Amino acid sequence: MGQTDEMRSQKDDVPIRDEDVDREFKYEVADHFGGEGLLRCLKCGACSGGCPVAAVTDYRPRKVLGNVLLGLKDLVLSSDDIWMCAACFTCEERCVQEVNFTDVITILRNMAVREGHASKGYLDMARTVLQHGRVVPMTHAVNRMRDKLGLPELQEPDMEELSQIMSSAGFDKILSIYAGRDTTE
Amino acid sequence: MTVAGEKVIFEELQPSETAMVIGGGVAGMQAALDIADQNYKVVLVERTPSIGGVMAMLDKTFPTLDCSACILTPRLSEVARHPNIELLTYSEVVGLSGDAGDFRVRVRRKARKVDEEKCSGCGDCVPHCPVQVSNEFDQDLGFRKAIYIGFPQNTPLVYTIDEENCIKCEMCMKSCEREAIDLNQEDEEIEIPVGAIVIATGYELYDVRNYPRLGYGRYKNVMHALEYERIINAAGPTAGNLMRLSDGTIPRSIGFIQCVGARDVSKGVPNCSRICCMYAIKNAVMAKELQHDNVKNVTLYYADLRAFGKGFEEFSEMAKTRFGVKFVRGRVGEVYENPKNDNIIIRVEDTETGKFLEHEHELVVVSPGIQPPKTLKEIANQMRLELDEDGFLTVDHPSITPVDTTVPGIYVCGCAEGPKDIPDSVAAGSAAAMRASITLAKGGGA
Repeated sequence: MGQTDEMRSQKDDVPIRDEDVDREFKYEVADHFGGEGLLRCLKCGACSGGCPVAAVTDYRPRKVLGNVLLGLKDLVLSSDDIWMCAACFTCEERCVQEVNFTDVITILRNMAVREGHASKGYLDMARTVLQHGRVVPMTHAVNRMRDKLGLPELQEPDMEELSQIMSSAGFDKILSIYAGRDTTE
Repeated sequence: MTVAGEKVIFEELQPSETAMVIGGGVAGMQAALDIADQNYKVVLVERTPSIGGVMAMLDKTFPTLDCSACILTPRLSEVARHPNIELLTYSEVVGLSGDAGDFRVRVRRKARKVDEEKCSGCGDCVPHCPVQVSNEFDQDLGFRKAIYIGFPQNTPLVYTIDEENCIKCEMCMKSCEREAIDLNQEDEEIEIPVGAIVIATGYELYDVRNYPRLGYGRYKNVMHALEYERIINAAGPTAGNLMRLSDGTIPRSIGFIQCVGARDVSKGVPNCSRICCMYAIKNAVMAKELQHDNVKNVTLYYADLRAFGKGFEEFSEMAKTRFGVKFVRGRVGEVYENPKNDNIIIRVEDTETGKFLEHEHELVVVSPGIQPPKTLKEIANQMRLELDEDGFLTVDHPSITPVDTTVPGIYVCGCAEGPKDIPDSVAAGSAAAMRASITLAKGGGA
C-alpha cells in the first residue's frame, strides 16, 4: 500500500479569506473556448485518480479545479500546479462530467502568462521560439540523425515572416512583461 | 400450467376480465398477484424459463439483510399456484393491437422442447445430458446442462432445453419416464385478448467492460456485483464460499468500486442508479459477516454516498462502526494487476484528504449501474410507448400518475420506469395493479 506523498500541500494550511475570492473568476475561465465544462465539475476525483503526475507529485487536477471554482484567482495563477500538467488528456478522457481539464489548464496558463506568472521553463521556450523560430534549437545532431533516416535536412525558418506573425499576434508584447527577468540559460 | 385449475385456452379469455403482466420479476409478480386477488384473470409473460427476475439471483437484501430467496420463494409459489394467474414463461410479446379494454397481444411461446403438463421437474434427465455450458443465472460462473433449470426454485418447475446448445442426442428423452420431452416442438404464436397491460420488464446491469481501465474481463480478480452476489449465495456456483476467481482463496482484502455506468455523462449514462451505493454496502457487510476472521480490510470507493431510503443511513453507519468497512471518497482512476500474486491495485485520490492512494486488494468488486433492458425499446415500439432520454419508459406524469404510461390502459412498474430498489418496485407493482384493475372495471375507459 505505497503512498507516494506523505506530505500535504502547503497551500492547504492557508485559510481562505473573503478578499482572496474573485467570484467572477470561474465564469471568466468558463467563457474561454474549451472552458465551458468547468462549471459542471463534481470534484469526484476521477481526474486525480488517473493522473500520471498526481501519482508521483502532490499535484491534483481536482484541487486546481476546486480552487478555480472557489474563485482563488491569484492562488491558482501564481501556483506551480498549473505548470505540472503533462497534457496527456487522461483526465479529459475519463471525466464523467466532460470538463475538458486539459483545455482549462491551457486557459489558466494563458491567463497566468498575461499576469506575469509564466514558469521559467515556458519562458525559456518562448524566447527560443522568438529567437530561432523553433521550440528546440536546430543542432547538428538532429541533422545527422535525419540524414541517417534518409530525411531531408532541416530548413532555416523564415525569421522575418515569423517575427511579423508573432508581433501581430501579440506574442512579443506578452513576452515584454518579462523583460529583464532571468532565464535558466 | 395446471397446478391449479384446468387448462386455459388463451385465445378465448375475456378482455374485460383479463390483464397481462409482462415480466415476472418481483414487481411484475406483485402486480399479477394484486390484480388476480381482485378476481380478474392475469396472464404473466416472462422471457426466461422462470419467474423471479434479478431478485432471485441476489443473496441478501438491504437494509435488513433478509435472505432474498427466503422472502421471494413463497411469492414464486403463490404466483404459480394462484387460480387466477396463468404463467407463460419462456415467452415473448411480439405484437400489440387494440385499445384500452380490448387489447390483442401476440405472444411467442418459445419452444421449450419439454411438455409443461408432463414435466414434474424430477431432474432425471440432467445427468444424462452430455452438454455442459455456463449458467446465465449464475452470471456464467457456474455450469448447467443443455436441459436445465436455472436455479432450484425455478418456477414453474419445468425443465427447458436450450436449442442453441442441444446436440439432439436424445439421451434425455430416453431417461424421461414421463415422456415429457419433445425435441420437435416448435415456437408457437398465440393472440391473447386482455383489457389492461402492466409492463414490468426490469433492468439489466451496465456492461462494465465499457470501462477498460477498471480491468473487468482482463483481470480474474475483478468481478461485478451480481457475480459477487452469486459467489456468496449458498445456492451459487461456490456454494456460498467467498473466494476470488484466480486461485479460489478467501480474499483477505476487498475493494468495492462505485458509480460505474451511472452518473457518467461522457458514457451516456447521466442518471444515478439509486441502488448501487446500498447494495455495495450490503455486499461489503456480507464479506465481513461471512468471513469475519479472514477478511481484514473492506474498502468502498465512492463518489457520493446516497443512502436515501428508510433505514439506509443507519445501515451505512452500521457498516462503518460495527463492521469496520472503510469508506474512501473518490472515483477510482484505474486498477491494475500485481503479476506476482494476481492482486488488484486501485489508484484513487482520497478527495477528503487529497492523498493519492495505491491500495492493493485481493479482490475488487465493481458496482455497475442499472440500464433499461435491450428488449424494452422493441416492446415500446410495438406498444407505441414513449421512452425517456435514459431509455426507460416515460410516465404520464412523474408525480401524479407515476405508473401510467403515455398509452391508456398500459401501466408500468419496477425498473422498466427507472432504477428502483425492491421495496419501491413492489410498491409500484401494487400501484400498477390497482390502476390496471380500474381500467378493467371500467371496461377500458379511464
